[in-house]
Amino acid sequence: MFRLITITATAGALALASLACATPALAATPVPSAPSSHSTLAEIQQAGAVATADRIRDLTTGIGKVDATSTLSAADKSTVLAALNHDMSGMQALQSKIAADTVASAALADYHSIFTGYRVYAVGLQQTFIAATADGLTGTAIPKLQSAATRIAAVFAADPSKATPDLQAKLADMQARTADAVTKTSGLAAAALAVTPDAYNANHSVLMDDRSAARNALADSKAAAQDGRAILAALT
Amino acid sequence: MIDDRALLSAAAVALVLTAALTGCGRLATPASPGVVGSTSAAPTPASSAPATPGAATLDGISQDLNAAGTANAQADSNAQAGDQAAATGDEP
Repeated sequence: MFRLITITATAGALALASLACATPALAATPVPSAPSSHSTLAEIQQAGAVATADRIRDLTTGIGKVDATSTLSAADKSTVLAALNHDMSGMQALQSKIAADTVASAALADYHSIFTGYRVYAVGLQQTFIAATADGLTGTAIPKLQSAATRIAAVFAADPSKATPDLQAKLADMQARTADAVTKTSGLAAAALAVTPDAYNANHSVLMDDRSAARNALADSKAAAQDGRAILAALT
Repeated sequence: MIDDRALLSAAAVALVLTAALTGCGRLATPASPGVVGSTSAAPTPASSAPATPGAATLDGISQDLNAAGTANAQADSNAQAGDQAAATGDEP
């Protein structure tokens, strides 16, 4: 309980701090247009500074959260931290390089590599959250739903009068939905974490199926939990 | 692409990041008592009258469902963060 309160309070504090800082930062940040081959070196450097700063900020937050989370499995956490720290190093290096560039064409190439070389949002952070969703389901939600269904089945077996057709149907749906969630999350985190920026560059939809699978598994898990709660309400 | 939409999306990701990945779904879930049917969880009446689920049995089901619900909420938060990340401008 202490841990829950501590983490909840920390999350709340971080959220408030983020809210407090985000608005002025957004308002104060100039909005340069996307640089092109016609842009000046200064314009490209300004856009590069904004793009790298955004990613460094969000990677810093993401790495901190991944460090603290117990949702990701240990193996996936290790994979995610390695990837996010790699992205962080890359962004910091590009931030410095773009600022030091003396030729517009070189700065523009470096600016483009912020995106094509890393895909911090489209790959790094997105795959982190897909893996966290999948691991949260496989690590906690699904085992608990299976346990609850086993307990409910035992109650029905011990007292068949409680196993009304409606409750039996709900239990069957609960078990089927949980089984579906198991199928949809099988290998999902590993598949999402295997996606690279190059794979995304070749196919911008490369993570779409994984994201859909996570969403659908979550919907199954929620439906199973709803079935379980309805049964429990009828038994009490 | 650095424009208003990208900056707003990046700000949204920053906010979502603060809410996701806290791992609260794995918290506050004490080990459940024995499974239904064990002597400790579902005492059997001496007579042949139908057994009634004991408080411990119902509590075990309730704890399982609460833990699943918390984990689902956490997974939902992470799924939303993934959606936000995917929607954030990441094109040159």
